[in-house]
Amino acid sequence: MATNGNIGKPDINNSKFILYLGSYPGHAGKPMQAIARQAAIASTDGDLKFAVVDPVMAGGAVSPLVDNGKWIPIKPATDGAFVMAMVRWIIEHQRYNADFLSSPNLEAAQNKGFNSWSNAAHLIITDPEHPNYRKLLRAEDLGLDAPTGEDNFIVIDEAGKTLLYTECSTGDLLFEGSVEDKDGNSISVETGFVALKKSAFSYKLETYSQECGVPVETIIELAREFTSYGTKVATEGLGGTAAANGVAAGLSHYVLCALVGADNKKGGIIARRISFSKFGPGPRYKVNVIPDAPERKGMGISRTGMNYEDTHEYQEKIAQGEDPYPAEMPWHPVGNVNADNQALFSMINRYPYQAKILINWMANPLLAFPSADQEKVIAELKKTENLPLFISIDAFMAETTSLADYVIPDTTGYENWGIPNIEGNFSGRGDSVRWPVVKPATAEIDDNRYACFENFIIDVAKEIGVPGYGEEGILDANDNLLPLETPEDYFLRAITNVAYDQDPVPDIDDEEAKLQDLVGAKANWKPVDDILQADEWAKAAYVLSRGGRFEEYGAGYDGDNRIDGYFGCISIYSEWMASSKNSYNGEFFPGVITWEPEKFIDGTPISDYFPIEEWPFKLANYKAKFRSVTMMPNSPTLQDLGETNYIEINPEDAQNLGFNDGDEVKLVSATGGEVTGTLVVRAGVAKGTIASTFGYGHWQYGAESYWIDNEKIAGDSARGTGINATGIGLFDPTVDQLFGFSESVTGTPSRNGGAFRLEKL
Amino acid sequence: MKRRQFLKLMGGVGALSIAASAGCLPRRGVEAPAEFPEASEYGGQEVEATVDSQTGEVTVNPDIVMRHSACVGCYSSCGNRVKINKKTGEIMRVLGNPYSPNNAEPHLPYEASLEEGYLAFSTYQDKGHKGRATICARGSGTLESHYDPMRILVPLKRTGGRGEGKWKPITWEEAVNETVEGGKLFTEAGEEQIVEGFRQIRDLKSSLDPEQPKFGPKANQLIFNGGRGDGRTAFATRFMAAFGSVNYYSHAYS
Repeated sequence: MATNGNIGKPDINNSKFILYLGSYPGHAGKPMQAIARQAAIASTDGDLKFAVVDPVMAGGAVSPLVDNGKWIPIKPATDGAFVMAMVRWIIEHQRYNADFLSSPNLEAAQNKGFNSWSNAAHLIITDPEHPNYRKLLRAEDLGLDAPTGEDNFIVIDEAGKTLLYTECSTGDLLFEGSVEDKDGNSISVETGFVALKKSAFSYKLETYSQECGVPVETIIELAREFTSYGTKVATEGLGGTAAANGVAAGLSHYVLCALVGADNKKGGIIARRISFSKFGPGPRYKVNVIPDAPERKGMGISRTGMNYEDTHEYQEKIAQGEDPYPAEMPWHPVGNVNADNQALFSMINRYPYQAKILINWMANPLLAFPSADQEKVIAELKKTENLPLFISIDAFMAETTSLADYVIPDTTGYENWGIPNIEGNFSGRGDSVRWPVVKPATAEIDDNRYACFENFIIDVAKEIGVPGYGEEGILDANDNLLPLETPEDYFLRAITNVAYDQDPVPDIDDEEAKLQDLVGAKANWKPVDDILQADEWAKAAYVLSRGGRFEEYGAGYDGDNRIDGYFGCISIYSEWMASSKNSYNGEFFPGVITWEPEKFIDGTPISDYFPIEEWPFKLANYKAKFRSVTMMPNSPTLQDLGETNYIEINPEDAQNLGFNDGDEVKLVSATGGEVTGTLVVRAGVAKGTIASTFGYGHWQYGAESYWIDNEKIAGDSARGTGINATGIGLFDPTVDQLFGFSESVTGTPSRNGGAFRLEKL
Repeated sequence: MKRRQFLKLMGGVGALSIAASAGCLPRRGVEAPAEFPEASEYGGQEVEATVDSQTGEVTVNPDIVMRHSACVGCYSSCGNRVKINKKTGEIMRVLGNPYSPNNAEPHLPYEASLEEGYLAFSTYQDKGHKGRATICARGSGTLESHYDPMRILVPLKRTGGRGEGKWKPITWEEAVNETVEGGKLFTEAGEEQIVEGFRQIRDLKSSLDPEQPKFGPKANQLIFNGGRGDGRTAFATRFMAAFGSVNYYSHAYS
């Protein structure tokens, strides 16, 4: 969650125990093959143990050959109950690392052998009458002198003295009581840890167990394992816990690791995406610094990462003396403003404002966004009054692209440039680099310029005079303005930054340049001499020839500590969350993780609308091994390896329904969506779960025919097999508009969970 | 025989099928031939190099180039090693990048020569087996996506309603001019509405809604949605910053 920075991923090679919750090692995760390899080696040659808590048994690194890895089934969208049970047991049995949690700042924690810190010992104002109710207590609240312009949080030390968090090495973790300000007024407070404890103790282990379907003894066993190896433990979760109540599950990864102090420790949680300087101001170029860039203003269309209380709508209602709640459509104050799913539902409802031009670039939101792959949504996207100009930049006639007004061809990964973040599970610094290894197949625009995303942007920008493009487009390190007219202008300079960052890489020698046929490659680019300084090319070429730049195996540690990482505060208590409100009922959100069942935006549990007796199943959406998100239904090899997907259920559920493996069945969502598919009955699916892989159910991407002038581009049905179960996810019935069921705090879509039933055909 | 039938006959398990599709299916339970058969007999490919398994001497095939780059089979940013026929410019096969920690365990030192890259797939000191640089099925599949006969190669404009599947090819200049200048763009589809182009929308002064100025300028009515983490997103964020719109979206939630 945004409050805690990008903390990281398990250090598999050095860890003793890893809890996978919402991520399947070797089946999902980035990169799945590296995770599979490392988990297999570490758990067979080494002594790593791992547990995968997931509604679906997906294979991967869990196999009969691995004694140290196991699968534990859980009901979809109940991860929050499971983690709260773990937290409760860990606190109840004092298995948490009090030395770590009581360290109120980084230096204090590092002096005790840790390499991160939390606000577990920081005080929270719990007095509802106080103007800063629910906020963390600050020096200003007590009238104490403190540096201006900083957050001067307060802790109580072991002697009972109130201190600035920076001046205290060990705080009282369990304090709950009152403090006095300088005028003698008393303020009721408690620590973040106490707030967490209260939340965890809201329910008994048995209740949590009943909610999530994981036996109490299993929860205890996992909690004991997790707290048995000091800081050499980790957790991992990705979209697998994305659900309309997923905030607890998402944040639990931070909380669980903080309970043992595992962040930035060897064998614990290590930061990923540690890269060389590339697009920012680098040693040679400042490629993403835009000369004379305008100041951006206003609110994003996504209704996320911003407060409803800051809108005109709210203020107008207050001015009229009306109850400001509910808002016309949901706002999600603690989310990421980048919430792509929310932006889509804003556009089709023209709320909070009208979109005029949509550029969709190599993305397929209709298939990717839960609830979006339904006729009702498609019909709204087709209306030009909702979206007057729709441009899609794509290499294929994907579902979303098929609805566009204009399609601009894009290049493939063999034809274009890119410097992607190297994803998790490498401890060192690194960048993969992609470059055009063959000549683009797209239309040649002019000399060595081919139709693609970058050239479209460049040409549009030049045409209307957007700063940062054309002859004076890009800055070198000395602020000289250089042209930005081709993708090479941009990427070769960024790659040169990678080459020169820290200790520059070697020059490529003539023999190796010949081996890579760099002369042949350059024949399709703008002349490199017009882009780089004479001495730069040999180093940039060295980076190209290795497909990037990577530190040596095992790099990135100083003794037992990871060098790079997130060193800000890990929020056991999120002040941001605690002081934000639900835009429909005006209630504050909790500041610590807590268990809540799935609820619609107005706070009604979804089971009140859709009783479990009628809608007995929840969805678990997992990744298909032989598709890649919405991509590659057009690969015949993958079609052969994974012809279609299925509707998968547990044998007990099948028996109760009288259904058999291989039956043709209809999956119906409680708000009207339906798909038909083939039933697979297997014990690797938790009870009450519909498991289905994501990546099938294409109805375009070449599955359907289309016409270019009078030429029919004939569709190939092999691309359109299977179903897209998440696409028929719920709409929120408490919202007047067409709105995909989402988590109220952050706007996370209901990728898992919901309310479904099966019908035999 | 169609590949699908072939695989069914072979009992197509994952790894086996990959090998089959690449034309290098191991022949099990058969005596080793006295002489190594011609590769073409089994649909195999010309090799990129030969390696002396005793001395490790590498002899590179001058007609084939092996380039190290990055895969976009998903967004894990693994590396790849692309086998290209120099004469035709065609990609023959894609493998893992032995220099990338995402592909190999352990990966080659950064200073290792390109010759080491060839050895990493050879029988010399068993390098091609232990810790071999791999690419997954998705990574292999990208090659077929690249050569998809239905790839879009020229700009298209709809000539029917949205989603009707009726298009016409247009020139690059038309695509740029029409989207920049707007106008009555869809008369061919029987639509009379006047559409605002990039030029009209890039208004940094007027409020998009004068009654609700907090929403910001009209420029915010340009929405960008790019789903990928393929190492090009920085180019997209740069454009939206330069254009002056806050509405940049990527694979944040979905």
